[in-house]
Amino acid sequence: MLEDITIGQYYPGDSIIHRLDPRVKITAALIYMTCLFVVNNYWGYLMIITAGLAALKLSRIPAGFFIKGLRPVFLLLVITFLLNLFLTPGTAVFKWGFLKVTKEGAVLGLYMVIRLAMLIVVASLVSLTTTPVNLTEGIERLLRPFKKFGVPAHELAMMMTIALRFIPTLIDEADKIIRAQMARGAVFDEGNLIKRIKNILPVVVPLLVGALRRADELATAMEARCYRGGEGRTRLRELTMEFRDVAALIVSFAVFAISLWSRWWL
Amino acid sequence: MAFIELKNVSVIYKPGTPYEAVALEDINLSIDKGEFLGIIGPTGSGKSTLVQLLNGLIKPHKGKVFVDGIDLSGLKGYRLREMRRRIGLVFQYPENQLFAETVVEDIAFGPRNLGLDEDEVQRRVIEAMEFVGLDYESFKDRSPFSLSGGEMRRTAIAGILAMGPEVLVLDEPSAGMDPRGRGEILNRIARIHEELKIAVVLVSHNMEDIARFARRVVVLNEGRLVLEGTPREIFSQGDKIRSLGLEVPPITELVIRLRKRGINISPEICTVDEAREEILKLLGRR
Repeated sequence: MLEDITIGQYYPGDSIIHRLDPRVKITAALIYMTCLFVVNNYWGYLMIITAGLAALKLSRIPAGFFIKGLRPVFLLLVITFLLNLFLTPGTAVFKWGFLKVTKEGAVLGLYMVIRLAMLIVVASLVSLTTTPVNLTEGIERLLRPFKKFGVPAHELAMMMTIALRFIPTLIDEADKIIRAQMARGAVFDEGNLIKRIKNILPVVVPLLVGALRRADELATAMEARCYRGGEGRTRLRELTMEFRDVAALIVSFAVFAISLWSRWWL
Repeated sequence: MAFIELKNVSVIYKPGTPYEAVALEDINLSIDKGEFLGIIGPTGSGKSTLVQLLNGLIKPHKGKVFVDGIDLSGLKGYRLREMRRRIGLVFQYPENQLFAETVVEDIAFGPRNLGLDEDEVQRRVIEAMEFVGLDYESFKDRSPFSLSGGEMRRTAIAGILAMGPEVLVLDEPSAGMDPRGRGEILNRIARIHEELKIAVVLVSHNMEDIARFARRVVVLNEGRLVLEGTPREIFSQGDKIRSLGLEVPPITELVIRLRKRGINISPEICTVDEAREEILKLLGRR
């Protein structure tokens, strides 16, 4: 029932995207997301979609995984498209009562859907191709310059590691509890909203109790191993920039440059 | 036809992903009304998957599960819930599913989901608490989270029992308990089996418990049914059991070692009482 949740899921593999430095992956993804909001015309979108799909292709992850990641936001995508379709002023191509479909609306709706979908797909590309440990180390290293301004880089990264680490555990646990309550005749997919919220209590309460117990045990386990924050902490594996990382960065900036060019000079 | 029938059942987890794993393969198993079946097998052998097939929580990818002649794959809504009442499943560490404010409220959750009227619900709660050995008056208003581990587990078992199952399936009901708590739980289960005349399916890592209570045992390994028989038949094959990473009960181990020393004692002994009698007989004969 809950196995469709793909947040923080890692898809083991050995593609070039998998082997990229996590800092590069995060930076490239951020650049790409910026590009998504820079481009504003046909050629720009064509370029940005091609670039995105090329990255997906390089990761050698089955397309089904990305589509699965889009499933939770499917409704949002549809609503976005419809709102743009009907509410954008312009030349009407179709009228139905007070609703009117405009050519501009169809184009804008399509653009918005592409933006949102690619945003999510690229974010899941990063998490699917990066182990949680690498991902948080990448974030910690990227945040390090901001330590001067009081950003607790290590602590933030540690919290993220722990949160990511426990997502599958909690999903597992939620799944078990749901099954256990179903074995006691609980129903989760019937009734109105209020009834459904009430029905979810037998799942939420034990899940919360379990999460608090786990947090407590984890804190003890960390203290037992003398954890004392990031001060003076060294790494088993240091991140190093390889040729492919530099190349990936250059490509990202090139895509960014083309996006800017397509917006203002095309 | 047996009460529960599994026919050529296979279960695959996460098919089509790199995490794909075959949990069960081509299982054929029948469970009769009123019997006491033990399921043993090493960790990851598919025991927990097997018990969830019995009440339709997991659907087989191949094969069919029949309960009382009804194919579980076609059931929905009310009829599926009715089936979950008939096959009462107690999960591993069932105390993790307690949620209500009081012990009584928690046990009443199942019966209420069945749509019973309040008098009947209360009657069943009292009866179930009696069977698991929780005194109604002193426990009814306590929070389940203030109980000891053993009491929590018995509360959870009562929650299933109160639904009035025809088969009680327990996935390692004594896991992580001290010897006294373990004995207490298992004796309660044996009593429920005898007095309510309901079938019990017991999954356990503890061979002594299986030898003592089960009348029939199936052994799972890597998703396949590898052995089936009475506890005597199973545990007399000590080498095979050990090769699967399991143990025979200590008393059977003793018998096997005695036989290795040339003492003529039956290899099919698997409880302490039997062994005592047999050894006394042998000593008397000398």
